[in-house]
Amino acid sequence: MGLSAVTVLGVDRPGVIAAVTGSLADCGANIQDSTMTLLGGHVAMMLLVSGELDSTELLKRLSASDLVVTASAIEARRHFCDEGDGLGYVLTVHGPDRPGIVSAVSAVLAADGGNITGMSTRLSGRLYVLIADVELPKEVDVAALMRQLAAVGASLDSEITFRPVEPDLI
Amino acid sequence: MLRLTGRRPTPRRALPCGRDPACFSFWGASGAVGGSPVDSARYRTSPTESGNPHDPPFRAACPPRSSTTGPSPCGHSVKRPGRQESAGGEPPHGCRDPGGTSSADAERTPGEAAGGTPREVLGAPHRLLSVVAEPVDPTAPEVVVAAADLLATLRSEPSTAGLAAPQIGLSWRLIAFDARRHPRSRSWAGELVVVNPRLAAASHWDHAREGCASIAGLTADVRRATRITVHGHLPGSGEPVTIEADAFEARCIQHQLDHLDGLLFLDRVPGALSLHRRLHTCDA
Repeated sequence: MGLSAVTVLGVDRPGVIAAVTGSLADCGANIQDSTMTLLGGHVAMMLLVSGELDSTELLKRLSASDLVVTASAIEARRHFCDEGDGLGYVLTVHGPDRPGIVSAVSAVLAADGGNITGMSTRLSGRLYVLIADVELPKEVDVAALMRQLAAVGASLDSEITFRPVEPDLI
Repeated sequence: MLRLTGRRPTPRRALPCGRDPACFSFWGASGAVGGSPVDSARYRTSPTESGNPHDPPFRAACPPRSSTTGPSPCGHSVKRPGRQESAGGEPPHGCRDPGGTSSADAERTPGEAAGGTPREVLGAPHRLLSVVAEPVDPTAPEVVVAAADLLATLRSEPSTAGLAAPQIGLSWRLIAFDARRHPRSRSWAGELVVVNPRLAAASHWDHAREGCASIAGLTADVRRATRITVHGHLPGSGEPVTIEADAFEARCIQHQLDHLDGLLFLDRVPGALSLHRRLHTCDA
């Protein structure tokens, strides 16, 4: 059973998700992980689907006039660090919009082996907001990393907070 | 000392927009943000030289008050046994004209001095929203005027349940709130301005979606205590006050306290998927 990564992009309207997922169900594809959001009035959806159809056949079944659909065969990959080994943090950046905020901040994280596992950015008026889930290797000097982030934030005229994830485990 | 504890009084008002309570929070000024900085020179005071941490760090040259325990300079009695009185008709405590004795008031029309002047709500990004606000002397006339302005601004934003002084351009530790109208309020102190508030106790943490008058278009799921105790002082009389809040009022007060520390709710978002576009507003 193959695994395919499917992306769907199109103008937001009621029924887009129903149409895509209906097509997937009709061809026996099973949706595993997926995420969907609206970006500038467009629906953006990414799905990991498994099934008997290869990605080429899947693409034919999903094609629609008002949607941009891609499908690629992929291999399931293990997370970059074993479960429980990484340290979870949440990064918040907010400040005036300008080019290069994401690249500057992500470069600091990448230099220490930090992995961004989820990210949302929003522009609201002049305010640019970035929220990222970050996983750090255990050996990272978090205090030094935070100093670097603070320096980058100052250079971007932005406020940066970097704090451990607070899981509500019950 | 006043001690404001929970009550469950008057029937809750319907939301002005008739929408889901989730869209009604301590936001609301979506069209009033992003303007020019507010001139705060009129409110500036001089720092104290005592160095005593128990002294107000800022002390303004104000006329001597006749009493610290009688009727407050705002003209309202400080006898307010918590939340046992009506939440609807009572004028806000400690928020009014200190008697027309300050130079700031002399510059105002009588109507303005009596009720405060609504001010522009600053929108992020703005420097004042990211700096730690300074403690002030709650008896200083400038502070009383600022409290009146803060309250007047809050009143001018019908879907806003709280504001902090930095949001109107004053880097002072003042907050105003009124959680009476929110359908998720369990109890409320009514309309109140608190000077130099500090969180003394917090418990029963929970997530809920909140927005901000200074951040148009965005909301986020934020974890906050649903039961808190806050100590502070009333403007004018300077009388100590203790607020025991729960549910939405507790969230609202913590949100305002964050403003005094230069924090936005964005700084408390628990993860990338907790940031949301605000798809509709109550004040539209």
